[in-house]
Amino acid sequence: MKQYWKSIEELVPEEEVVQEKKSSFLLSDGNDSSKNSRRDFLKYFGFGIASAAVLAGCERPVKKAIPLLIQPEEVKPGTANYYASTFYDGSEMVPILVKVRDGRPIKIEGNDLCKLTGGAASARIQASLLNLYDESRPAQPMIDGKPASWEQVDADMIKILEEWDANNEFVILTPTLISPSTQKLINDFKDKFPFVVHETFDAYSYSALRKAFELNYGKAIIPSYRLDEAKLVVGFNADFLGTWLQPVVFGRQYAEARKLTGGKREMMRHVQFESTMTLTGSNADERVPMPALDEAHYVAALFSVLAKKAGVNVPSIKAPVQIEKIAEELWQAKGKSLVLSGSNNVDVQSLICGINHILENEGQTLRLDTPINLFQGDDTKLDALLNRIELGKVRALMMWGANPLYHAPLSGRMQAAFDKVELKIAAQSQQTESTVDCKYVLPTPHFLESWDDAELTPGLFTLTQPAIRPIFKTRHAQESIMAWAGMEGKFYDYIKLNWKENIYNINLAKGKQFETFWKTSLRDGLVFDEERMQTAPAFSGVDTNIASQYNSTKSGNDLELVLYQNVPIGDGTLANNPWLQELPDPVSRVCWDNYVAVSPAFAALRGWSQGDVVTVSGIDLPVLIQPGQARNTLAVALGYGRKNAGRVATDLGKDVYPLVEMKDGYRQYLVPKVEAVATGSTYELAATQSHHSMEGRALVRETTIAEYLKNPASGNEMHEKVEKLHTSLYHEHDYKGHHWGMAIDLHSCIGCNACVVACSAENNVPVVGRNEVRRSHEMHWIRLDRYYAGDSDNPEVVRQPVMCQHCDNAPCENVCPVAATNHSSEGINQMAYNRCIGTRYCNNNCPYKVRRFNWYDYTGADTIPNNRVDPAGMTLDLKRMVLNPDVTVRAKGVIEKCSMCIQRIQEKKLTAKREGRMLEDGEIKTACQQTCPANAITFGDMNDENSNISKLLKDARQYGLLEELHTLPSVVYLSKVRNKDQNKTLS
Amino acid sequence: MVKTLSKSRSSGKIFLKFFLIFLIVSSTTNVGAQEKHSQKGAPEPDLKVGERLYYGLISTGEDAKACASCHTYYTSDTINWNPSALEMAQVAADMDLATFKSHLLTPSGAMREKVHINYELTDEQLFNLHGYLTELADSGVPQKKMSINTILIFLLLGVLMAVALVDIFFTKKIKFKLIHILIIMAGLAYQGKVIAHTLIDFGRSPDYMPDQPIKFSHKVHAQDNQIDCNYCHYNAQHGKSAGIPSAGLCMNCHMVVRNGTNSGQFEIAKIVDAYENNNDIEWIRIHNLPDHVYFNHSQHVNAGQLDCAECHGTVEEMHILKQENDLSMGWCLDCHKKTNVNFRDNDYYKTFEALHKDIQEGALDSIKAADVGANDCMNCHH
Repeated sequence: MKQYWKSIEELVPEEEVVQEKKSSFLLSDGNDSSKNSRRDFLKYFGFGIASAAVLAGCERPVKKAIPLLIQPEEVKPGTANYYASTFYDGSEMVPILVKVRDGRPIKIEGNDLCKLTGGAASARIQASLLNLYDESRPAQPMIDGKPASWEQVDADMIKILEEWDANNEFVILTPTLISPSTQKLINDFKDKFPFVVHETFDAYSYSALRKAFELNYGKAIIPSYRLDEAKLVVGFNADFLGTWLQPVVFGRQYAEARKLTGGKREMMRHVQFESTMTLTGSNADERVPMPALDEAHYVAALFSVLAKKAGVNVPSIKAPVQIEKIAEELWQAKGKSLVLSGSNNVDVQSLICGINHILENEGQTLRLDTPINLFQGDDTKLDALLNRIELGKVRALMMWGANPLYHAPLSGRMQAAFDKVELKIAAQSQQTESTVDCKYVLPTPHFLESWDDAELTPGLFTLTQPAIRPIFKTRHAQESIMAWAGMEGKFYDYIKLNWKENIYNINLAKGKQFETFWKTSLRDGLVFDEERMQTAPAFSGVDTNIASQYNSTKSGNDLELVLYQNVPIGDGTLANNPWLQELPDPVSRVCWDNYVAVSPAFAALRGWSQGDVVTVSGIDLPVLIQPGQARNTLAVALGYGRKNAGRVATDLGKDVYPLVEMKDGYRQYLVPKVEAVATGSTYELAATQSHHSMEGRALVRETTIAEYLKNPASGNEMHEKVEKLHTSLYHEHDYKGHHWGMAIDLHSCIGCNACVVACSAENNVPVVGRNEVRRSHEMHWIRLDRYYAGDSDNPEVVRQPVMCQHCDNAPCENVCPVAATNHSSEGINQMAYNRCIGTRYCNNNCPYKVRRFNWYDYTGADTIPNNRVDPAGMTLDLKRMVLNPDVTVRAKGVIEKCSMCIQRIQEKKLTAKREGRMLEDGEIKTACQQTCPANAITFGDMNDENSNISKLLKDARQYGLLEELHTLPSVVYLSKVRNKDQNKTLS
Repeated sequence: MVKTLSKSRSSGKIFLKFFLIFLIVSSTTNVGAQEKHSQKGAPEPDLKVGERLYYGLISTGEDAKACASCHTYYTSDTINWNPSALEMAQVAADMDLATFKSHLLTPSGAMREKVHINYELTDEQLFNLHGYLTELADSGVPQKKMSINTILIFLLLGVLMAVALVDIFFTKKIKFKLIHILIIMAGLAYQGKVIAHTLIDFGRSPDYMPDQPIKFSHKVHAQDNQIDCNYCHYNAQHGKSAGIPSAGLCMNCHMVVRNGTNSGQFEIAKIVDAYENNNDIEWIRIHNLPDHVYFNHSQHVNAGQLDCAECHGTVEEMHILKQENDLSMGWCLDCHKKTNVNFRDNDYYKTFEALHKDIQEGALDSIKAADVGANDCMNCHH
C-alpha cells in the first residue's frame, strides 16, 4: 500500500514538531480568556443555588409576541420561503435560491433549474450570505465624510452634471456588468450626458484570454468550455475547479465526465501542468510541476508538436518529454479534448487557441456560439484610462462596485491617478479601500437586497430579487443614476420595462402575456432564449511565429513568485467574511492568513521550516512548505491584507496586489525574479492539517482505471475481508422504519469545500478564529482531509470529506455518562446538547475525531461575558440574524457534531405525513449534498431497497471508514479511481 | 429555649423592618420624582382630592359608583371587562377639561350610558379628578407587591438554624441537643423542598395567565360566537407556530363588529386603532418553550390529528387565557407513549413494514407515536 502523509512534518518528523504535537494541549497564548479558577466555580455554584431559591419568588421574564398587522398570504410564521435570485460578485455568476425565514435570508442554495450548475453552489456563494449581515457595511450616504441625505446627494449631483464642462470625462468604473438592464441604463445615462464614460475593471484580470480570441477568431470573447464533453483535459496553471472563470460549472462538468457509477467504463483524463499545487492540480490524474515562467515554453512546445502532427509548417521546438507524450494523447483524443491556460499572457492564450483549433475542439468542448459575458475588463483600456487621468482629462470617477486601489495599485500609479481626480464617488455595498477618500459615499444594497438581472451567455437571462428589505440606508446605484438623469420610477420598473421591450417575445413566453412571463421568470429565476445563440466566429489563424519566441526555458536558478487566488478568499472582494476566513484552504489546510508556499526541496536548501518568516519582495510572510510545488517557485495568495474592509479582514494576512505589475498592457500575476530572505522570526499559522491524523490505515482507497476495469473491487479488497469477520457482541439495532445512510464518492469529490460552508450556514456552526484554530478548537462539522502520497516533489493527492459516521456500534454512545449521545430509531447518532455535561469522553472515544467541543461561547448562546470568544463579531445581533432558527445554538461546554441535517429530515418527513404519502428517495437532501457541485454525496434510506443509497451500497468500490474497527458506520465511501495506466503515463 | 426563639423572632423582625424601610424609601423617592413634573403659575389640581374622588372617598353623587369600583387598579383572576384605571387615565389625559366633563357626565355609547348615571361633580372636583388621572397616566400603576412569604420563611429558617448551630457549640443555652438537631433537620428539609421544587419548576409556568394589552376573550370568540380555532390560528395546520392572528384578520369581523357585549367599544377600538395607525399589538406570549426545544404545531394538529384542547385545555371557556399544562418534557413523552398514530390510513407509515406485519399478525393492536420514533431526542432537540 502507498504511504500517505498529511503534512510535510509527518514525512520528515522533526523533534520540535513531535514535541509540539505532544504539548498541543499546553499551547496557550496571552489572550487566554479563561480566568475562572476552581474556586470561582464553587463561588458561582453556591451563588447559583442561592439565586435559584430567590428566583422561586420571582416571575419569569415576560415574552412578547407581536404579529404582523397585515399578513401577506405567502408569509407564514416559522415556514421558510425560497426566492430565486442570482449571485454575482464581479467574478462568478450562479443562479441561486434564497431561503427566507420570518423575513430574513438564512441560507443560499443553487437554483436547480439551471442546467449549467444543476443546483450547486461554491463555498464563496454559500458564505456571501454573511456579508449581508456585515456590521461594517456603509450604512448611509456621506458627503465629505459627513452623513447626508439622498436628497442632498441628488441635488448636488444634478447641479454638477448640469454645469459639467463637456471636455472633461465623468468616468463610471464598474466590474464587468452582466446585467442587460444596467447596461442599458448606463447607455441611457451616457446619451443624456455625453461626457459620461463607462469603463470596466475586473478585480482579477482575464484580459489576455479575451484578447487572444480577438486575435484568432476576430471577436473578443470567452467561450463556454464543456469539460463534460471532453475525454482529455490538459490544464496549464488554470485552477478551473477552484478559482478560474466558472469553478461551479466546471466542477460539475468535471465530476460528470469522470463518474463511474451506473456501469460506466470510461472516464475523462485530466493532466495538469502547474507551478504551485492548486485544487485542480491536486485532482489531476497526473500532475507535472512546471515553473510558471516556463509555461509559455511548454505551451509553445505543445503547439509546435501538435502543429507538426497536423501538417502545419512551424519552427520546431525541443519539447519536454511530458509534452511529447501528452501531445500524442491529445492527438488521439482530437475533438474530445480541451487545453486550458490560466495565464494572462496574450501569446500563451493565442497558442492555446491554436492548439484547441488544431485539435478540432471548437463546437465540441469549446463552444464559441455561447460565449460567457464574465470578465469583460480589458487591461489595455485600464491603462488608457490611467493615461487620460494623468493627462487631466478625467474630472470625476464614480467607483461603482469596483475597488481599484486595492486590486490594482500598479506601483502607486493608481493612487496617484486617484488623487488627481477632482470628484470621487464611491457606490459600494461594502467597505473598501477605494471608498476612503471619496467626496460622495453612496452605499448600495447587498445583492440579497437588490433588484437586478444578468445575462451569462447569450439568451440565458436571470433575475436578482431582494430577499429582505435594505438593512441600512442604501440605494441601488442604478436608482442614483436614474435620479440624476431625471428618470422616473424605481430600478425595478426599469428592469421590468427592459424585459418587456427587449427580452420578452411570444415564443419564449410560450404564448403567454408579458405579466405571466415576468412572474414565471421571477419565480424560476431564469429563462433561456435559444434563439439568441450567436453564430460561432471562424478561426482566422494563429501567428505561428509566436511559438518560436519561446523555444527555450526561461527559468534558471532564479526564484519566481506566483500570485494566485485561493479557494476561500478568491480575489479578496468578499474577504470580510468570518465563514470564508475560517475555511481552510483545500490544499494547505491553513486558514485566517496567507503565507508563502515554497517547495520542500527549496526549503531544505535554505534550511527553512514551516512558520519561518521570510521577506519576499519587501513583504514578510510565514513559510508553508507545499509538496508538489515547482522547485524555484514561491507562491502567495491574493486577497489578504485588506486595509479597509471591516472588522474581520482588515490587516489580516499580507497584501500582495502591490506586486502585480502591468506588463505589455496586461496585469501580470507572476513576478519573474524575486529574492527571499529569512528574517529569523517565526509565526504560527492556523492550520487544520495535522490535527486529525489517522496514519497508516486504509482510509482513502484508490485504484487505477485499468485495474478497476479488471476488478471493480480493486484497491478495496480489504472490504471483503472485513465483511467476512462480521460479528458483534453488541445487540444489533432494529430499524423498523427508516435507516438513514450516506455515501460519499471519493472519485467524484473535487475537494472544493463548498460543503463545509453550507454545513456551517445550515447548522449554525461557530466561527472560532485564528487563535482557537491554532489550538485545534475548530468547530466545522464536516472537514476535508487531504493526504499526500509518494514523492514529496510531486505527490499524488487524495481527499476525504469526514463528518460524523453515525455508527451503529458507536463508540461514543457507550461512554457518555449521561446518555446525551445515543442512537435514534432511524440510525442517527443523536446528540442532546442540553443533556451534555462536557466530559468529552465521547470525543476521546471517537475513532474519526468528528466531535467538536465548545471550549468557549462562540455564538452568544449564554450570557456570561467571560465565556465568550468572538474574534469575528458573530455574537453581534446583526450577524446573529443569519442563524438558522431550527437549529439550537450550542453553549460553552457541550459537544456538537454532524446530525445528518436532522432538521431537514424532520421537515420532509412531516411534509410526507401531512400529504399522506411515502417519502420519496432523494427528497431529503443534506446541506452538504445539496450544494456539492460534483454530486459526490448521496443521502437516503438504506431500508428502502430501491433507493440510490441502497444501490451504492452494492457497489464494489464501497467501504466504511476504519471498518476494521467494526463500528458499522452509516456513512460509506466509494473508492477513488485514477485515469492512468502503464501505457498512459507521463513520467 | 424561649429566649432563643424570641431572639430569632426579633432578628426576623429586624429583617422585616429593614425590608419595609427599604420599600418606603424607594416609594417616597418615586413620589418626589413625580412632583417635579408639576408646572408653576397655572392653578394646580389637588391630587389628593382627585384620588379620593376616584376611590369614592368623597361622594361623586347619590347612588353613583366610585370610579375605582369598575376601573380597577389591578386586574384580578376573573376578567374585568372595563378599562383599567391606567387605561382610563391615559384616555383622560389626552382630553381637555370640557371633553372630560362631557365624557363623564353625558356619556355616549351603550355601555357607558348604562353605567355612567347619577354622577354629580363640580367643575373643581372634575379639575382635581382630571389632574389625578393625568398624573396617573404619567406615572403608571405601581408594581403589585410580590409575595415574599416563601423567601422570608426560607431566610428565617436559615437564621434559625444558624442560631441553633451557634448554640450547640458556643452559647449552649439549651441543654437538650435534640432540639437543635430537630430545628436543623426540619429547616434543611423545608429548604431542600423549596430548592428542589424551584429547580424542577424552573422555567415552567402552568396556570400562567398574564394581562394582555387587549382584553381578548377566547370564550366570547370560540364559545359564544363559535369561531373555529383554525380560523384565527390557521397556521397551526401548516407551520411550526400556530400564529397569532394579524390585526388584519381581526378586522375581517371587527370591520362591522365595533361594540362588544361585555367591553363596549373600548377594547375593540384598540384593534381598529392598531390596524388603521400601523401600531403593533404587543401580546404577551403565554406558551413558552425553551430555546433548545423544537415544537411543530402542524405535526400534532395536521399530521397527528390532535385536538387543540389536548394541550391547551378548554380554551373556549377562558375569558383570560391560561397555560393549562406545564409543557414539561415528561408531559410530552408520556403523551407520545399513549397516543396512537394514524398508522393504517396515512400512507407515510407504509415505510414501517415490520410494524404493519406485527399488526396483521395480531402481535400489536395499535401503534403509539413513541413506537415510530416520536421520543427520539433529536426530533425535538436539534
